[in-house]
Amino acid sequence: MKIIKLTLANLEKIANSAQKALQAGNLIVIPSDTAYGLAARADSSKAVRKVLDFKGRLPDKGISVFLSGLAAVKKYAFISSGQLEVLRTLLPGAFTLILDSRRLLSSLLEPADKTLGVRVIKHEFVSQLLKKTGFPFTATSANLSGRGPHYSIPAFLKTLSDRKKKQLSLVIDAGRLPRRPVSTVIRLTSEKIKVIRPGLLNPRLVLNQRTKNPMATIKLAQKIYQDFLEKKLASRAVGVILRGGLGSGKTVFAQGIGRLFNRQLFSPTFVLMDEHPINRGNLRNIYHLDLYRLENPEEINDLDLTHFFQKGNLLLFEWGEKLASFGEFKKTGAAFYWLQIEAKGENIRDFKLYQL
Amino acid sequence: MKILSIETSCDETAAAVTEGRRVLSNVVFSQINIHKKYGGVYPALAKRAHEEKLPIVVKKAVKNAGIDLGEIGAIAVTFGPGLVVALEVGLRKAKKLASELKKPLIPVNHLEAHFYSCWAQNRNGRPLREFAFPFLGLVVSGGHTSLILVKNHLDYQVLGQTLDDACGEALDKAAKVLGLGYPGGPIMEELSLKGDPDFLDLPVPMKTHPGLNLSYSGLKTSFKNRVARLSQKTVRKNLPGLAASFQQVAFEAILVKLKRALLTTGTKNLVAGGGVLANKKLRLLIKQLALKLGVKVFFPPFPKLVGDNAAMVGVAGYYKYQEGIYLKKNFDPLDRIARPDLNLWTKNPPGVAKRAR
Repeated sequence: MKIIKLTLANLEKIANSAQKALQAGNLIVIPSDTAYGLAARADSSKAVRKVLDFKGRLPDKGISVFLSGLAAVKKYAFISSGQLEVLRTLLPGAFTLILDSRRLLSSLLEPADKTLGVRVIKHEFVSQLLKKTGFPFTATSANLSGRGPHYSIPAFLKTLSDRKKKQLSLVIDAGRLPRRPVSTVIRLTSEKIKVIRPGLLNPRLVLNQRTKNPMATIKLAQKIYQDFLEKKLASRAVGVILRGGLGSGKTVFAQGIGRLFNRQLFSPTFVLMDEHPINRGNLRNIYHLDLYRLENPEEINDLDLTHFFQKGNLLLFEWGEKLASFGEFKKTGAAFYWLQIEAKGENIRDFKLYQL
Repeated sequence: MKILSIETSCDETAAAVTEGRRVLSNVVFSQINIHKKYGGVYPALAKRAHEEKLPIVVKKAVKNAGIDLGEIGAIAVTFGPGLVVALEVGLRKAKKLASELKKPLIPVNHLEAHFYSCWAQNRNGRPLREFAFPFLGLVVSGGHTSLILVKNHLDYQVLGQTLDDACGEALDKAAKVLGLGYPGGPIMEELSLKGDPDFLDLPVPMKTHPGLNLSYSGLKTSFKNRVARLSQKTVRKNLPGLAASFQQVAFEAILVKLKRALLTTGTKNLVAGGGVLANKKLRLLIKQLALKLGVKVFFPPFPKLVGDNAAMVGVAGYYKYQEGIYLKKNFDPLDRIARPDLNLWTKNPPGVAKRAR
């Protein structure tokens, strides 16, 4: 392990040494816009493996890479033209962008969902180094797994055993770095969740109605509860999949049912699932869910929904088309409805209710 | 008395040891890769990550405090609001510890804990900062937008709250309308810096509506409709202006109600918390308003107390214990609640806790 001090005067020279070390597939420590980072060439799994070994981390979380600019981002990840505009405004900056990977770099960098974390930053040394190498390198903080980032080299070295120190070929000490927090992570990936489509489920249209304002939507929700859902709740659980774009009135619909029991329902986007014990008539509980933020089917399993499918429980699913494990819940004997909401103007909404 | 506290309402697994207002240890396990400035639950991580990390985090909190588990006098735990499957993990562990150690269990509401974070102290009892009752509590996060009058310890009156979406959630969804990524808050903040907030003329929600409740669902819909009327090209060219316009109105909605609440209650102290306060613009607007009205603003004294943590749960727990709000032996009456009433387990605790008094 060799430690060299970085100054403005020797920046060029040190960037050359760092370039050589990276080129040879070695692991080095470099300063960055946030904390000190571990750098290894990102196009070599052998080099990336050294980062994982050093940190004592499994290759399941993903490791970000430094890229020189938008052209490089386009080369290594998929971005839409709309996203390109966003990136023009945000970069360079203290962000880590999670994008769909083109899989040109080491696969060890990518978690199971095949995404790549990229950083384009404003930092003299890192920019110089990227220019010299011509290949991206890893941008992960220099620490052992589970520990915090380091802003000073002596403090970092103190945490290392001699064996760990030997794994580093070069340490570039730029003095004490300003304590900037780690970068903000932003996801710009496409959705990976499989959406269920009612076409495959033998849907039967049972109601088709237009409402002209939110108040009418509330009344319609109450009518649907009384005409369809209430009877079924006497013998089983009832699930309603609410499908409609942002602002189409899914929460308003749920609030309509809540009002029948003097309950104020809120948007459950943040908590994922609200629970409202009612115990009136056939209705035991309302579970108000919002699958908006779910990104893969496993996350639905984590909610352990099966034990909520019991007689008298009403489950309202906003963004319910993401309910990939729908088939499993159907097997519990629950009745399922699909409510398709379409916005036909500022306030006009068309509701189609299907029994599944 | 030393309190061991546990917080798992969201995606941070946290444990702490406190003594009165003093924080002896404060351990937060956060996913390094997911730095969430604006809060929000990532379900994939929530339950499994909590189950995996909580035992380690609790051990570390006890060790860092430099004490034995035997010195713990009570256990405090967050029972809501939050994601129920996540809350369950913390509650199960807290009940287990309380029965093993034969110590009382103190139920704490996540929102009240945020208020108490402003009065936490370090090991040496600093800062001295006196409690400033009565104060107006403002929570703005991905899941909450609430105005609460806190007259004294455990004396809460909810003055207003959002009737549908929370402010942070609205920012996320506006970002989605613009085709941006997740979480939307930081992107909207960054874009807003470069945009003209008057690019779109949006209605400030509930401005003329009496009372102190808020609503974001209408703003979300009208933003979506306005953006849909623009060409793709115009939207792409004017992302900063669109973001700035939405953010301005989203914050204006809070300021209108905040000002009204401060004026009608005559409260001279304001305590602000929640993830959206990471937004510098919102902080500035709140400080400016407070200055104009001669109101003192309090933020948590240490950065580690701003986001979700267990130290604030321990501090709140201490004052609840003083008031006799805790359970002994039979912990069954305490259950996790996704969106509990703020006065549950405070002034009118259910049977068991009352008997414990």
